[in-house]
Amino acid sequence: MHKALFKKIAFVLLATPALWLGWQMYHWFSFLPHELTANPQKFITQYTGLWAIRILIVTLCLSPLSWAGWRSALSYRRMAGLYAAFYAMLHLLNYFILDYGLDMAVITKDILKRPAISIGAIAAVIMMILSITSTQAMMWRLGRLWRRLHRMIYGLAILVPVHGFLMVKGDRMELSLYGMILAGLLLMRLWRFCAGRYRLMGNRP
Amino acid sequence: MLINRNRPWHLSENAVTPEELYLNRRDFMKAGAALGMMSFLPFPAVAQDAAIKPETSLTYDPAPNIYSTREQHTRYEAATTYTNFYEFGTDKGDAAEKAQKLRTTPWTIEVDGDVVRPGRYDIDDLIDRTQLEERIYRLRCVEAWSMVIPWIGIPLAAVIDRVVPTTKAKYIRFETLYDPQQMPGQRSSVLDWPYVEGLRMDEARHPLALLAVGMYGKELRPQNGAPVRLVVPWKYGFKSIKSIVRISFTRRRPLNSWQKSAPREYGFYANVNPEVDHPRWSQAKERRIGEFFRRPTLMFNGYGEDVASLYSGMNLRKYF
Ligand code: HEM
Repeated sequence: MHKALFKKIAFVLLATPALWLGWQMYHWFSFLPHELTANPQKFITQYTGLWAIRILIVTLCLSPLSWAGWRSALSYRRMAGLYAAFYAMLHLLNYFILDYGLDMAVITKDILKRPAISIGAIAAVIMMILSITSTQAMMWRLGRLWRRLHRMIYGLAILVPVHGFLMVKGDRMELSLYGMILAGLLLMRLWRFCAGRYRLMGNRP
Repeated sequence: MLINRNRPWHLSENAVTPEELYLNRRDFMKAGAALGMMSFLPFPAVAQDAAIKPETSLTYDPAPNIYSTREQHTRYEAATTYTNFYEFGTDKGDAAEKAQKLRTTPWTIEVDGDVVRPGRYDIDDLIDRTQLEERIYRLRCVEAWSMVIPWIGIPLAAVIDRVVPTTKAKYIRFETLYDPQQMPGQRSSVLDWPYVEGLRMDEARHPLALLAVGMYGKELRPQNGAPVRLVVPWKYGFKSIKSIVRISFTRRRPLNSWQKSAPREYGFYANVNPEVDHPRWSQAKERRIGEFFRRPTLMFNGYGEDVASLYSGMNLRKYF
């Protein structure tokens, strides 16, 4: 009962940044005052990029929370992961369409020539693969491969903050903080993995 | 004859939202943000902070200048809310929000270095208010956006002539006010304060280089660099240093703040150049604020005819 309600609340919460953005964009396109600054495309890149990384952090917090005793944490994993991918997708669509008007000459040059953007593009491809294979049916179909495939999220935890950090001009406080949190979340997993190995080898910690 | 013109754009397409309403909307928004509310309605007037200087009109020569562009001006609201002024924070809206109480009177400028008449000048002793003229220039930010701004000021060369640099002076160096009390952004170390910029003497004497005290017919707002700023329209915006308190004449090339912070990305010359990309983004196109899609960036921001000769024989890829 409660769990279903909490899930609905989580669903709405994770949607609010996008709803706000949609509301503001409606004003922008209606020539009404809005909060997207005088350069909305740039604002939207930053806004969607930041929400994508924040929700990626939320996603990666869920396993440690489940180890700590929150039993149903894992049931939020798919929703959170898909939301992170959703904001990343808005980030891409804005960049391709609203910002560069599908000027593929400039876009391909950007992606191939600028390492910071290439890293973002690799992250985007990974996110797409993970989203497409996130369904129950895909889990059954891929079997053991599914688990291996979805370990790529650890790669995202490195690529995304590096991309964000490199893209920001000026104040890098926020991105550094997110990078450190993600590194911490990866270290927790490494620690657990090593401790597990240690026990398997017959040693008692 | 000097007359105070009522500029047409004050009431035309440039006045989509009158500034007073806009400012009030911001106040309202601050209150509303806590509740997650976002206002889009103009809101009835609320009391303005007494410390905020009202806008003052300037008197200037109304004759159109030969260097002025005829392109449509950027909306005043955009030019006064979308600014890079890291002294007040790194967000574009920070300065509009936090700079309003900047004390700009009295304002003195220290002139030193290889100069015949060094000293501490009151701003009005350096800038002759009877000589103000309007220059409508394109402004191209290194972040690939641009505006068209009607500045009011005097040629930098006029100020240089007033203080008479010696023949040893090869460069001119500018410094922005350093006052963390008034400029909260200076409490963080995003850049090495105070902000420093510089020009070669021949660049500084070029008739396009302007010391501006106003824009859109009015005194500069603090977020735009009040009370006096540089405008060098053929270079990226960060060269056009704001709120100047010191002008030095030097033999060595000054190390400007952005070059100091990231020498691979920002050089001393910083001439607008669509062919030399920033390592992290292309400079081939720009977003003119108010337009939807990007437009091509012009060499020297379109001022090549006037300034290219300053750089003849120089490798602009090396001296970016
Ligand atoms: C082809 C793929 C991508 C492209 C072309 C791209 C492009 C960009 C650009 C141009 C910026 C700079 C924004 C600015 O002007 O400051 C940026 C920033 C950022 N991007 Fe991406 N991005 C891509 C993929 C991703 C992905 C997959 C994520 C996250 C899941 C992401 C997260 C971020 C973050 C966190 C920032 C920093 C936001 C800020 O400025 O504070 N990007 N990206």
